[in-house]
Amino acid sequence: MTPKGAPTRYLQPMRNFVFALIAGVTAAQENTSGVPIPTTPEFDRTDPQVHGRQLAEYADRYDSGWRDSYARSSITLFDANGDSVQRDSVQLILEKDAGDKSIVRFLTPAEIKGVAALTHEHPDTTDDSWLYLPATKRVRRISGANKTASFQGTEFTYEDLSNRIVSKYEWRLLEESELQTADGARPVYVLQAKPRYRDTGYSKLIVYLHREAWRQERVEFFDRAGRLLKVLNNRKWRHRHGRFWRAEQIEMTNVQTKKRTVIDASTQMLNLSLYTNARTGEPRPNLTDKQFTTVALTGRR
Amino acid sequence: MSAHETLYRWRWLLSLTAVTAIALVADAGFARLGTFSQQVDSLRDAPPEVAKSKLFDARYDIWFDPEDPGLLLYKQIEDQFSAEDFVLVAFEETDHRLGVFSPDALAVIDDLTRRIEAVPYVRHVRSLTSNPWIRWEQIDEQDEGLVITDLFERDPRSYAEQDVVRRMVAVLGAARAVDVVGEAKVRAAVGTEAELSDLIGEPRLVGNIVAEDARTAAIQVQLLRPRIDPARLRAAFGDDARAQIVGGSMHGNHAQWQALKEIREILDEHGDGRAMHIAGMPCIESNFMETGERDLGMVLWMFAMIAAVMTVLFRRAVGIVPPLAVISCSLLGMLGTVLLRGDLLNNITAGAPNMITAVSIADAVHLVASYFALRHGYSDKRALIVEVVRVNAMPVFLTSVTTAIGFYSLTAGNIIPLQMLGYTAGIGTLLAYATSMTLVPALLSLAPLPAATKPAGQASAVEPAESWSARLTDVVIRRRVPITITSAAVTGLALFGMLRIELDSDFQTMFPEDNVAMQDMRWIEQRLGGSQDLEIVFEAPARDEPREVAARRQLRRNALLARKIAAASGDAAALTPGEQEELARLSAAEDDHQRRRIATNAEFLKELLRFTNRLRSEMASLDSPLRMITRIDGALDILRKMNQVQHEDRAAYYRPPTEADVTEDARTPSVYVDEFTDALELVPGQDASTLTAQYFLQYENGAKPAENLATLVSIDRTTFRLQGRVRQGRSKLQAAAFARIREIAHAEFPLLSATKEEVDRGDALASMTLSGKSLLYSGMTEKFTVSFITSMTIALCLIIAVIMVIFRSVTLGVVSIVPNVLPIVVPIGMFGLLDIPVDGPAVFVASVALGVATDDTIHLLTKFTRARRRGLNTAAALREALHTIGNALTFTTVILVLGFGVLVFSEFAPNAMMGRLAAVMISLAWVADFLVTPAILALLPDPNAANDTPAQATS
Repeated sequence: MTPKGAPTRYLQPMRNFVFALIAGVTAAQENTSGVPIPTTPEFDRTDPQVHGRQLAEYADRYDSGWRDSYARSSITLFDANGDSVQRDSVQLILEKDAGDKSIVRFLTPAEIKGVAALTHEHPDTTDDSWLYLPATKRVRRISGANKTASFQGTEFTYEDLSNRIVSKYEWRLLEESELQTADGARPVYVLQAKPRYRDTGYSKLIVYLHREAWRQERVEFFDRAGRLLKVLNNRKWRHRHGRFWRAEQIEMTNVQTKKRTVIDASTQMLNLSLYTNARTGEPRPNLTDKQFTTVALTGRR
Repeated sequence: MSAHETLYRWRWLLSLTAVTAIALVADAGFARLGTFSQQVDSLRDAPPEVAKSKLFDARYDIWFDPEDPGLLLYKQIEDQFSAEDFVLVAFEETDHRLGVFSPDALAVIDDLTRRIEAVPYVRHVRSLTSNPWIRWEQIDEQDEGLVITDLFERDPRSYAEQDVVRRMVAVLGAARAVDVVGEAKVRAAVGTEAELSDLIGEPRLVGNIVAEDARTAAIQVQLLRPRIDPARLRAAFGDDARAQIVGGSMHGNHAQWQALKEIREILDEHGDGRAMHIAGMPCIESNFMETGERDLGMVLWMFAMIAAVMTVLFRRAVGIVPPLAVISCSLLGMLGTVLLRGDLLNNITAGAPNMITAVSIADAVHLVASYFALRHGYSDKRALIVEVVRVNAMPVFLTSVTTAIGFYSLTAGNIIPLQMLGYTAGIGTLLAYATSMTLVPALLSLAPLPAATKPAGQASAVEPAESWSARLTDVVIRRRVPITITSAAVTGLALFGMLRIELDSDFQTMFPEDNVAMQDMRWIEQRLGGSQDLEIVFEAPARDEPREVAARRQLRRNALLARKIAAASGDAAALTPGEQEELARLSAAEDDHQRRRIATNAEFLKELLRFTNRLRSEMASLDSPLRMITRIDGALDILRKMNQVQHEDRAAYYRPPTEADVTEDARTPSVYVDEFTDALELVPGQDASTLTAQYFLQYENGAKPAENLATLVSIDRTTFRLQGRVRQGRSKLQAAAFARIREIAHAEFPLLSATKEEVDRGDALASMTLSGKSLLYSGMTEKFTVSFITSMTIALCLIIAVIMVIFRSVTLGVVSIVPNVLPIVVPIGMFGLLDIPVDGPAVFVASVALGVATDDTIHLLTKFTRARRRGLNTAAALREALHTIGNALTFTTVILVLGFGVLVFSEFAPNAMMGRLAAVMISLAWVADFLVTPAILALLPDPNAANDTPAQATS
């Protein structure tokens, strides 16, 4: 499972060397994705609100064109005590202009193996969601109305996982600075995003957007009382096809309850047609709409 | 030169040293308190400019035995789930026919919910407008499905009445909704074909956030007791471990009270002019704190009273200034020492100033009274004061030692506030001795001596025979038999009464009738049931293996099982015998692993349902001790609702899932090949337990994070928490309710209430532990009192031993029991006889009384044995002894009785009771030493009986 909100980056040749020095990336990869980077627009630097929104829009455009993805990951839930449980899952995402489609299927633990959720995102209306329970062998429609609901009991809510649609927030560039991370300093834009919709758990978000890679290094979520509630850290960045940045580890910490959720991706494929099926030796087919239906959800074939 | 003369010569240097030392200690102590207060405030999000002094230690856990299983569980709950308390905000709507479902009332609830949610440290708010409404309904044109949303998602005023009634039915159930709005409206809301008996409502909400008649609504607020992580604590408090613990948890309390204050402000401003009521444990705790702090003012009145009484008794500055100087120095030194050690005051040690006032008075007044008694016989100030010191040095030293023993014996128990009281008052006692013996002679030496009216060497201004005390002594000696018999009878009766003592306490009776917090609590409890917490926690020990081992085992076992199934249809190689054996072994281990995960164990949940039903039916009975408990909720009720809504909402399915709810062809395991990995994958066989796990996942997938299972079930599913609501009432009644739960569990549900070992062996499903603040507090009075009585008994034995040694007489030691015990036993025994429950504080004032009684006795016995050693017979010795100490003892008694008597005006009932009891006990100590002890001594054989002419008394 990958946060689709995490933007990706294509290295502009001119900046490759500089970036390598700054971010400690040893070598820039060639862009083999076949998706060109969008040209950087003229940012309006006079108004921090406009500038902020433009940066967010550009980061969003930057991370489009990856078509589909497949990821196997483990989700580890830690309670305040540090006790934990782990669930393994597979996530499939199909990139669509009218809203992504995704399936999450649980692999472990045994009692929830086969539980699968299908979501059709809609930028302007409520998402459609279905859930399949192996014990009843039935696909049940579930309401997608509650964005503030927890995702499968993790520290993530649906709001955190869905695409942060730029127009749904009021943006503001606070400053350009260096963010200290476990892997070193990152040059970032510090953006403030205030939700403009009612069904939110947050008063604001502070997004640390990488200035060259256009990826979200960290996001801080403030509760409706304006107090820091959660911190999302994206780590172990992988540069897929020399074009799209994906974090292999994302960690959401609730600073108020001290609980946290860590998602570690063990396998990640972006744009499946760029990978070869080891058994057949053929390139893998891309995912299609047919794989994101309620029939496909049952896993029966 | 005698020691007393040396003392006199160096009196100024000694006094200066004592005062300077005390000043330095006090200064350092208060400086430390100032630093600490700032450190605590620095933890706040917005530290105030001027730190409010953090003199009071408000931790709840210091009151309990650190090993108490209830306390340990409570801490485990805090670690595992969340450290928080709830408060209920409630109001009523009696005019509108929809009750609290009226648009105006709902708008107020919605507004308050949003505003309270925004208050710092509020983790979650549940109300009529904000609660998970689990239902099955049409989602769009094509589909119906499971929906979990807030009951009111939009502005509640925007709903048509029919939609409001539909929600009323969803909460109250159809039957109660019919009572509120009539059947026609209910029918109009839910449709004509709906089976009304299936619409059972949401039992988790009725009687919780809304009353059955819909006239009262509550907003349930979960208030965090924020915990500061170790790094921040270290940053704030340095390496001082104690300051980290005390300051960290103090921050938690202050944060809660600050939140409570903000909630009250919100209610005032946005309550729509409605009468709002608020109750819950944090309200009670802050009420205690506020009342306690206001009550500290009573000490000043006590001080003023003491000064006034001394003015009347001595009428001269030289009689008033030295005792007040001793009190001030001892108190300041004691407080300084406590603070310098890094300790704070708590509701018990706050009593130490009263005690030390008593001790200081006793020490100083003896010196001052001797001075007044002797000064007419002296023309030389130096000789007079040396004599005053000589006469009093021994008894004051002895009384200080015995009083200190009394206090230090409190450190023997394992109740921290009593330990702290012990050493605090112990230090105060020693300081009172040191300052009495230095400052008092020094101050006395400042006063000019009046012209001598009697020849030097004369004992006193008045001949023993003429004084009131001597006349009293004569009466006592004459009536020694009836006095002894009467006092023996009274003591016997009191001892009998003590056997009948009922230890009990009730927060409600500790505050005056007009205390708002208590009125609010009664208002809410009348309409919505208990406002205090109960925790019933079921546990099964997890298998003793790391999580990774269990995960690998499950993977391996499922892979083997998948192959076995695939092999049956020829799609995979058959398992080798070794693999078959491995599969059997792994499956057995896996079964054991699953069995311990009780939250998803169908067998456990079925038994638990039986248990909660059993408790709930008895809770409704007015004869059962369980009537004190008004709710028991847990994840089980969520599971039941999930099962019901997925079965056409039929009431019969309001139960945990059973095997029958699992699709038949899902029960056996099956295999498939993963299209991406080409690996053989197992779909495990499904049963009631896997369905339960899947329902829980489904619920968590729809509920708000604050409503998820994390606060109800441990993350590994081996701990299952039921939360109850308990009515405020006498601690006896609460304790009886808790005992009844245990009784029912052990007698009828042994599988749920086994020992950890039995569960581990697989002979039972779970173990059960009870906890919660109300449970801890309800057991406190008894534990507190038992610990206190033990300490007092030790102290008494030690004091008697000391008396036997110093007076070299076993008889006197035995006799001294009477005046020491009688003043304490008689009032407490009376409570037993009159069936008045005894509260902790009432017992604890006994240590003041013991101190004063011992003082009196030692002074009496010192003078008595001195006179007898000079050859006086018992009658004459008693006459002289009582004459010598009569004024001093009487003055001390009057001063202390009136001083403590001031406390009767306290608004905090335990303090008022303490004042009343102290006054009675100290008076009785006087009675014992002037009437009872002389009478008994007069009954004893007299070795000097032949000497009927008194020798010349030189004291």
